Amino acid sequence: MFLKTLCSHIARHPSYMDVMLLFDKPITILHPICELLDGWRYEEDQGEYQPVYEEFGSILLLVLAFVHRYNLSTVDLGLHNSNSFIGRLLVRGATSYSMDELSEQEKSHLDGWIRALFNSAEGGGLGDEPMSNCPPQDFYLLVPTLFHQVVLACSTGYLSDEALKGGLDCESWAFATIAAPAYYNRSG
Amino acid sequence: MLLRSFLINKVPLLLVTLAHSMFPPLNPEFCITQALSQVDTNAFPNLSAMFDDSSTGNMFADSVRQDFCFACCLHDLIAEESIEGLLGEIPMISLPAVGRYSKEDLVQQCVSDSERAERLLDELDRMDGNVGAVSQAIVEVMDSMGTIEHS
Repeated sequence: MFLKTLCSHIARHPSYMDVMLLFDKPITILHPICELLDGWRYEEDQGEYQPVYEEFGSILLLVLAFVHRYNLSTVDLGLHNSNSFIGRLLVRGATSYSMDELSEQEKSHLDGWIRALFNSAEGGGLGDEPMSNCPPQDFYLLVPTLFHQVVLACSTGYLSDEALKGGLDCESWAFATIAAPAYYNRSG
Repeated sequence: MLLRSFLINKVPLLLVTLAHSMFPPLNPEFCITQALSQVDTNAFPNLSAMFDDSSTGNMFADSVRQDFCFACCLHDLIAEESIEGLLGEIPMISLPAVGRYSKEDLVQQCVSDSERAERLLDELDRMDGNVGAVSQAIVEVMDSMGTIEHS
C-alpha cells in the first residue's frame, strides 16, 4: 500500500518525474518496479482483490507516465525478456483482438469482466470475482479488447446508453483507478 | 523550474565530482568565482535584479545566483564567508537549517517512518541543493518497497 501512495503521488506531479531524472536514469527508477509488476502473483490465501488491483494500477500508472512523458522504450527500462508483462504492454498493449485471436482463458477473463461490469449495473457492485479469476497483468492486456467489445455492443444497439453508463459507472472510482493506466497506454 | 533545479541542485553535485580531479592552486571556489564573473548577471541574476525593470525578460525571476552560491557552499565547494564577495551584495538567505542531506540518512528515516517518504516527495521542488539526496533516497525506498512486496 505504501508503494501505491508513493507512485500515485509522483504520477500526479509530472515536475517530480522531471527532477528525479536529473539524478537517476530511467532504468534505475523504473526497472525494479517493472520487475515487481512482471512477477506479481496472488497469494494462496488472498483475501481481497480490489486493493491488489488498485496498488498494481497505481504502480503501472507511474511506469506508463514515465514511458509516455519521455518516450521510453523497453530498452530504456532494461527489459530484455520479450515475454515480460511490461514489454508486452508497451508493444501490444493498445491492440484489441478479435475473439478468434484470444485463447480460451482470455475469452473467459473477458467474459467475466463484461458480466461483472454490466450485471453489476443492476446493483451489487463490481465484486471480487472478475479480479480473483483474472490477474491484473491479464486484465490490462485485455482492456483494449474489452473496450472494443463495449463500443461494438453500443454501435449495434446491443447495449443501451443507460446500460453503458451504468456499467462503466459501476463503482466508477474503483474502475477509474484500475483502468487509468489503460487510458494512458493508447497508441499513437 | 526544471532549469533552475538543475542549476541549483544538480550543478553543485557535478562540481563536487570535478573537484576530485582538481589540485592546488586550482580549487572549486576559484573555478566558481571565475565562472560567475563571466556569466551575464542579466541571464543569471542577483537579488537586486528583482527590482530592476529592465530585467523583466529574464528566464529567472529572482536570485538564482544567490541560491546557486549557497547550494555550492552546502556541498563544501565555496566558503560561506566568500558568498557576499561573489554576489557583490549581502545575501538574503542562509544555509538550510537541516544542513546537507545524506541519502542514507533519508532512507533510514523513511524505513522507520512510512509517512516520511511521502513528505520527502514534496521536497523535490525545493531549490536549496539538497534535492539530489532527496530524489535518490526516494528511488532507493521505492526499490526496497518493491523488493519487499515481490518477496
